[in-house]
Amino acid sequence: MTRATILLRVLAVVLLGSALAQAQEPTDNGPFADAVALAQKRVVKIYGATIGRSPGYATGIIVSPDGQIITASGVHLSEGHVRVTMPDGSLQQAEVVRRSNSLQTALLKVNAPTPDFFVIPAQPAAKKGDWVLAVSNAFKVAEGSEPLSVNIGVLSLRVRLDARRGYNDFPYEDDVFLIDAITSNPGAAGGAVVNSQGELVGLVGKVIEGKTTGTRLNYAVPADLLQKFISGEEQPAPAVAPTPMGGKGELGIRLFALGGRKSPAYIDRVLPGSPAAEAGLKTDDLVVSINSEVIRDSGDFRRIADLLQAGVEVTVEVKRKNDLISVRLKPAALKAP
Amino acid sequence: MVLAALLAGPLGMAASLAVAADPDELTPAELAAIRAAEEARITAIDSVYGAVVAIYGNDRKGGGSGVLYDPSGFALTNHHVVAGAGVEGWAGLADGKLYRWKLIGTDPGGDVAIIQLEAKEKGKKFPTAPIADSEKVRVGDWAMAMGNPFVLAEDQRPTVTLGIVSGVHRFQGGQGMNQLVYGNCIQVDSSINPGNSGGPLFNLRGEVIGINGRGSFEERGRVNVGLGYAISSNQVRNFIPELLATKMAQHGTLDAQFGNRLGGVICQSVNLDSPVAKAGLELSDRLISFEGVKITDANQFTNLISIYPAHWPVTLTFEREGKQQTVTVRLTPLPYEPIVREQPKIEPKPEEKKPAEEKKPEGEKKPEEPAKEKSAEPTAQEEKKEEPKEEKKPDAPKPPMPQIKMPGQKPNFGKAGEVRDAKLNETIARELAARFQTTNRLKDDAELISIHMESDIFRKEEKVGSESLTFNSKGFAFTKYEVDGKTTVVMFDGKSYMLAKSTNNLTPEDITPAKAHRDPHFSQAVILAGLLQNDIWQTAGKLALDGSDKAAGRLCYRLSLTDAGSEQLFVWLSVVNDQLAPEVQLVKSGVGYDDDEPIPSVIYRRWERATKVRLPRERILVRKLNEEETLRIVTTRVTDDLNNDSSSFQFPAKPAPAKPE
Repeated sequence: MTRATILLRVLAVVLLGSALAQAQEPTDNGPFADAVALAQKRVVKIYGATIGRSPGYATGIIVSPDGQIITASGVHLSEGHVRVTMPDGSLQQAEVVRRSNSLQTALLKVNAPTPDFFVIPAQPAAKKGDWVLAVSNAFKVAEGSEPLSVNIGVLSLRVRLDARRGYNDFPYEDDVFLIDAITSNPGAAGGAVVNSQGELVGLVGKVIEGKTTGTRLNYAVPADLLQKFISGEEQPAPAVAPTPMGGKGELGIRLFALGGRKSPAYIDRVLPGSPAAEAGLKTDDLVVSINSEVIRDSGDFRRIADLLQAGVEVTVEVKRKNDLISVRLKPAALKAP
Repeated sequence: MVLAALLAGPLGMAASLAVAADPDELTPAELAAIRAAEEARITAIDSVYGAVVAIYGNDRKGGGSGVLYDPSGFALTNHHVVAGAGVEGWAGLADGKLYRWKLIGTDPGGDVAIIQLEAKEKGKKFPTAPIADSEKVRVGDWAMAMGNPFVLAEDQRPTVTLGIVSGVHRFQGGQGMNQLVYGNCIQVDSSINPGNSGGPLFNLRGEVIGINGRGSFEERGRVNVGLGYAISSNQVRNFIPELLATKMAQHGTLDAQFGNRLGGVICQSVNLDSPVAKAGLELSDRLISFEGVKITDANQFTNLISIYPAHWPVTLTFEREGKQQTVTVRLTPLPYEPIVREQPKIEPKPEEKKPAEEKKPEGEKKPEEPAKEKSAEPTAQEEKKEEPKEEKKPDAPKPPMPQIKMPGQKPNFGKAGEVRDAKLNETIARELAARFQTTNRLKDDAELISIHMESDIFRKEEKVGSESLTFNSKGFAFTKYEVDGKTTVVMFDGKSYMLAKSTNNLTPEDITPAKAHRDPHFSQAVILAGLLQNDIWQTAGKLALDGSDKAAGRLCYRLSLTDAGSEQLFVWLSVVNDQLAPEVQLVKSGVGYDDDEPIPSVIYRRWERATKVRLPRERILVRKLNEEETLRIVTTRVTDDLNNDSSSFQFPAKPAPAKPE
């Protein structure tokens, strides 16, 4: 029996099963089988070059009937030979059409027309709190026509990722969906994140690992951003407006951003060479005041830091463990990173 | 709201469709559906909570998990758990108490072991969890893992983690030689962490669909990364008789390798001494089907065969030049240590083939576990025969490697394929035989009796003779049958075995028990007499559990009765019924189990109430491994006799002469 027929049979059983189950008990084993079956037909395995410890494989999603595939960027695309295993197990050569630095994605094209592809929904297919399924080839568990792995989680939040930039010098600069399915695994990037109807919610993101804690972030590129990328509308990464408004100043402090404006103003990262770095501020310092104005949370910090003038000395007080430390520093002029 | 609706399952979805108008408000119907679904899940957890075991060594340290599947205290766990804990230790249940456990049997190849917990009061039954059909598991099904991750539970109450089935029919290569291979396994995203090993994976009905054993732990240390693997419950079930026999179980191989070539699955190498080669398989033959499953991919075949124990009979069809051939052969054991021929001179290192070891990606190397390669191999005896080749995945290697931490020291698990503890084996065999009696005795305190059965004998649909059987609670047995006009009488009167044939004018002669047992009509009476005996089958020989076998297409315990002359009579008892519930029923008996055994075996069918016991209305005499029917015996009348009168056990025609010719 081929995998495909197993799958079809599974699908048939599921359809039949859920029809029956609606009439009977609610203890059926879960309503995800059809969504999984739909997604499996639209997700591909991608193989390419391997460099060092970076895996030379990933996942991709088919987004057009003529064989356009979106995957995550990575070393597997670094050489000419990119091979794609289609859902039916057939092997295709792929060419890289376009890349996006800010989304860390790439558009591939294979010469294999298929009726099974993801239509990017006009409206978001999931919102905060909805179940999402991640379909990917994490750890290269599946090969050939074998079905991909499916993980379940909840869509937690849509948030801009650049706050986490400092952690891993990760070049992504746009919104992401944070999901609590564990997708931050080798080979999973480029997989499909779908809702319980099998509609596309986003693209499984790459592995991002915090340097100090080793914590990983499980994120997905939202489908609307993918749509822009496919149609070529996506703007090139905005090269931060050069020195706006004469004297606006920059301390070089990045706060922990998760938790919204009410979160305490802990320093996540101090930009190297910045005034804050020269003044000796460190990660995990809590900013308690700037120029004697009390900073209760990150919202206060942002409001006050926004008003700082380049070259005008300020006093910043931070709490480090049990000590209060006061430093004087001159904000630098804003410039492109 | 979608979240809530999905929690409730299909019923919730139906409800959510009905109220699409206000998407952010839960309707009372939805809320009720969610509560009902939650309630059902909690009920399912409650029903099996007491069956989940936390397993510790004698030092009460380390630990893994397990699940009780049998009220006598038998519990399933991983081989690598007992490899760490030893052959006995402490087991915690949800009642908060610690129980002593001892190892029964273990399977290093498939990472399964059975331990037995000791009841606090003799005869007290343990709570159990049912074992489901893992072939019914679908990707996307909810899956609950239970166990004792990180040895969290001070009070021994298990931890429950919920996720979904991420993949089925997965293959995860092993380590060492043929060890810890996860074939045809279930992949889940339910959190599986160290300590979960050996614990059950449940569906939402509280049925065991797998035994959790490992995860894809790569560069991040041994914590859950969302990919866990459970040994399928069907594989586990196949090994239960093997493990209860106190063996170090081995997996089976055809001794042939197949690869994907020219659009087919082609035999690439075959051991010429293997049963399958002797049955006719040759190089470049194309594999068509295996155990009733059409084979389209070499990996699929590797997956399918990995769930069967050594010596298991399998049926396969292969094709050569357009001609198909179907054969039934027994699998040969996969060794755990290299099999070396005796060498006249000491070799510095025997040639060691490790086909199970696949290429590891670089991210795989774990410097903190340098001594992993050579750890805890079970001690297999050296067999002096050809090294069987393993059916490994012939295609691209699978990178996620087993990250199972094996201890440096190895407990004594005995020798590969052999019974470790003969006394324990006999105790378990007796318990199984007693369960066979329980299955068929309508009242436990029923007066023991003698039974007389009259039957017709058919060849195909044609009646060719008749049979009468008499047996009693002392193990006396008598049969007189007539086939194609020839009459034979065989009997045992408590002292001696006698045979008479119409060809010698029904003059009885003394025969050995073994010769009497070779008469399939007489052996029926011997075996069925076991239903009435207090000490079952004591007259027929010494009872032992051989292990797993297949009879009449069913998984069976194969028991053996060995008489004083070392001749054996075998009894096959079912492990489960058609609904997969435990049921020990007589399936087959015979004097041999090889394909070339000339004496027919007996398959027992259609168990029905007759007098004070259930009896098989139909018996089929079969030959060879594929169980070709030769004769069919259908009972027409059953009578019982409360007197237990031994007058039935005398030759009806004339008394036995003092000296047979």
